[in-house]
Amino acid sequence: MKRPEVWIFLFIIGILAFNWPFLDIFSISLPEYLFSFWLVFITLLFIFIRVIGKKERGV
Amino acid sequence: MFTPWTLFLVVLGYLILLFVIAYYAERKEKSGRSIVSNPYVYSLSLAVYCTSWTFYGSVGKAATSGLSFLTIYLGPTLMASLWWVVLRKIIRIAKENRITTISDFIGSRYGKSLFLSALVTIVAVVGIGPYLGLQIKAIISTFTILAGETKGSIAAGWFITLMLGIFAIIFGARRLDSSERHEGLVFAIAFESIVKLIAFLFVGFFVTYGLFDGFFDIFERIKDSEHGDLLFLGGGTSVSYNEWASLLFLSMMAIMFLPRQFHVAVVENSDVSHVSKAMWLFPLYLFLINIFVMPVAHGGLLLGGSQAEADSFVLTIPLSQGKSLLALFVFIGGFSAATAMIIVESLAISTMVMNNLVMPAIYRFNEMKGFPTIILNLKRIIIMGSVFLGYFFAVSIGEFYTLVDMGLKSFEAVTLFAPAFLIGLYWKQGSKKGVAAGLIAGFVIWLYTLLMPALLRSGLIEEQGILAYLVSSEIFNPHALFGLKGLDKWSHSLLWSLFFNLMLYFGVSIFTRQTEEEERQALVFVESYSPRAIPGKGLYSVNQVENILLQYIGRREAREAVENFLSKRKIKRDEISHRDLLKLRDEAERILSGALGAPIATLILEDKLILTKEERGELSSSIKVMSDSLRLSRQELAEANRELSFLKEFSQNIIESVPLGIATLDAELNVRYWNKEMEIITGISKGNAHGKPAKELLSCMEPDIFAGRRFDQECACQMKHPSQATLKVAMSPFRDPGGGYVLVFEDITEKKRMEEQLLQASKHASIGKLTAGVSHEIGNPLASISSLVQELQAEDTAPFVKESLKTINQHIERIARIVRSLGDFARLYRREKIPSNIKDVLDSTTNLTRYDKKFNKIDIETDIEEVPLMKINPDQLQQVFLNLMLNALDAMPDGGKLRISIKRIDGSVEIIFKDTGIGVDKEIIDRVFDPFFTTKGPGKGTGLGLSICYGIIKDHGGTINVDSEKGHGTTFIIRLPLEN
Repeated sequence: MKRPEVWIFLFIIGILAFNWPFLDIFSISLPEYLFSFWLVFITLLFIFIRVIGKKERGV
Repeated sequence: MFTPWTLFLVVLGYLILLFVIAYYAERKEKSGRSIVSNPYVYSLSLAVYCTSWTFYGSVGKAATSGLSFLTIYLGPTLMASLWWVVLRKIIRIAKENRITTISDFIGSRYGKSLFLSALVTIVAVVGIGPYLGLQIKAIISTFTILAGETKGSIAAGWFITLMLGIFAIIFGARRLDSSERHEGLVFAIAFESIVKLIAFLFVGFFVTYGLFDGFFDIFERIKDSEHGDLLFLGGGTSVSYNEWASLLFLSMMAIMFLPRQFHVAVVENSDVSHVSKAMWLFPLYLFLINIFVMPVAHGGLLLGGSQAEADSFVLTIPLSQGKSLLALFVFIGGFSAATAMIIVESLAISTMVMNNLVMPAIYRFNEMKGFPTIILNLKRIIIMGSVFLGYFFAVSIGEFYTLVDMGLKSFEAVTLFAPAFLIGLYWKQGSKKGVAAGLIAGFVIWLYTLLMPALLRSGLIEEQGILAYLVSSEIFNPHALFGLKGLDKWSHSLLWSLFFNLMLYFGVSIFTRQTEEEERQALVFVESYSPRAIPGKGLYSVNQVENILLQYIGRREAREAVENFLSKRKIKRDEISHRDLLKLRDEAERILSGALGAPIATLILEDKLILTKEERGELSSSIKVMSDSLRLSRQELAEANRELSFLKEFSQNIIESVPLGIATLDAELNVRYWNKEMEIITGISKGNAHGKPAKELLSCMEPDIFAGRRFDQECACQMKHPSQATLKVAMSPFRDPGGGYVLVFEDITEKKRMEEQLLQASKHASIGKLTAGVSHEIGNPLASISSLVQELQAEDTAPFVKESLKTINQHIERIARIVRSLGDFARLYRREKIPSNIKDVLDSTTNLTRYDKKFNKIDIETDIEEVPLMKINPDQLQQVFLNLMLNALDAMPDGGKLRISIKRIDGSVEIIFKDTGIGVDKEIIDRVFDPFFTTKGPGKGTGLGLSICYGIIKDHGGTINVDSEKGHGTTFIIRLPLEN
């Protein structure tokens, strides 16, 4: 896993998910979608940090 | 409701608590047991981002514009995913160069430009100042709501502002070095982050579950109300997707470039590894503090509140429900949000103003007595000035703006720094002129499209004269610049300011040249290059450095700084090397950068540089000599490199072209090189061989050679060839310090075959000579004996004599047959060859056997293809065929099958005799063509038959081979070349 690419990939996913057309697709229940994906994104950040942290420590 | 005095005492008590907390953290730091240097406090300190805008304004925004308030928190969450790449780099650069503000960062990046730093400072002060004021306004407003009267609110606001200023001075400007971390301040900010989060969760939970039946109840009710569109975005709602995207982008930039965010994220960072935990903890904090924003906003509306008063729903709802204590706690939460922002922002802005606007004007008065104290006090005055500037904004223009509106204007202002800052981190060609042009253009557009309409609306400026003409024109309309309509004001301003900012930044940078200092700083920032001792810099003695420092940061601090430098490197003051003096100068520059800003630090040290005219001349000559010799060295190096490449290619061509397999092995006997011939010999490609153990690839080689006990051998290997190849292998140690071996393979299969043929031929030649002599010497006397015996037999003799003579005659005939055979063997090489059909030769031979009773039990099958005429000796070949058939007969005493075939294969004719007889042992099969070797019993064979066959076939340039297994018959294969 190459670190800069991983973060840029995650960033782009977030940008896409929090903008049109996804907001339009989920317009029926927009608050639920926004808060759910927000939590998913934070979880992904947490997991990526753990994985990369372990790699850095050589675990 | 609470009386103003009660509230005042509560606020005072809370501020005292903050003082105690900050003091406690500083005490801990001094005792070496920091409670601040950890990722959790770091993450909480980043939550200074959540101001009273978050606490009150988000609810207001959610009640008026629906979901768009979320962009302000989703943007930082997205940006946090890039912190591993971006923020860590910024922190490393800032720490290395003792950068303390965003203006210093941009100024330093572009050649330590004081002008750029000052420009960034002006943009920041103008952009952030009113926002600072609105925090104080929020305190005053909420104080008024809770007190139920305006009396005393302004006075309380004044007092609170003063207290906040004092707090910022005590915990942020006790010493001059701004690069020093302020653990007390950070701990107090982190504490306030917890207070505001808990307060908001309390009121949110109260509204959602105390007044309604949870989230879905509120959402269902609001959907059915007149405010149903608050749950949607895009067409038909108050927020378009364009505006959503613009706000998202603005908040992404704000989290990086707001001065207070830069201060807590970069300057107050104690360990760059804390960033990794903050990357998910900070977004989680934002998530939690926003969970109840919509329920509170919608709940307020459902309870009859108006959208105009939505900013204060968090306070008015508990008050209206008689929950005074909850309202007081919420007030404290909002107060925490506002005070944290005011303290850090005023500290950051004052450092910028001090370093970039004030210091350039006064730094030359360093000879003045007590100059360091003057600087420090000036900084304290500026902090207090910043805080009271906010107070001024709060009481003068605060009533005209909402929290969100002013906050977004600040976001737009700091977004102007993005191109210079972010692109400057990764693109070296960006120049000072490009940044200045872009920043000025962007700032003018920001002023014209966002600030000016706000000032016009508030009446602070009037729409008349040229301004009236501009505002009403088609092209210069501040809401539709250049006639572009249809965009909301945030997207409109962002589009044009960013467009001109970027175009001018890139355009001017590309078409202008950087100064040397700009190039050097570009390397420092983009490549994270740490400049070592640079010979061009002015050199100071230790005392001179200390003298310079003491003029700006005080005698004690200067002495401490120098002593620290010397003790860390274990250097004595009077034994310092030239290189360490240069490092000391750099250290002094970094200290001054921390206290006064990088541009001023550079100016101070350059001003102190004293070189005589002669010294400058010598320095210039030295540099010229050095650069000349460097240029020559580079040319020589390039030439040597070219020659080396040629030699490498040449030697590789030789190794690849030579008809020998060459491989190199490392000390562990793994293949390192494998030439083309090795691929042909072994059938193993270079790719498959590289790195593999030679023992595995060349398993046919004896282990001795790999054990180093032998260095050459001949081995028969089953390689790519269809049959076994005989290889000669030589292995020699490699002349390399790392060890290893060179293996050379030679395919000697053909050579060995020729040697065997030569040996066989010489055997036959010797025996031919011998047999010729023997047959001659024995033949003549034997003829005489035979004729005498025949004469005696003709005589009438006794029966015993007659019988004896008959026996003698039989033995003589046998001897004569042997002698004739010997004669035939000797005469093999003297027969002539004529063009003949080999099929006819075989037919005549098989015809001979048909009349022999002994062949009755043998079933002869023939499979004969048409073959061209061949130049052969038919008699000799007939003898060969007959010999082979007689051998087959002997091998099948009880009968069997003999299959004879003639086929044309490529350029030769193949004749096969295959019987189903007793076969030959493997051990003796190699000897069947040797003269006098026979497996038949005594008196039954001479051992010359197959040897004669071998000689005849060799004489015809062909080959004869035998394949047999005991009990499974024998096959003779004759191949004769067609050119015969």
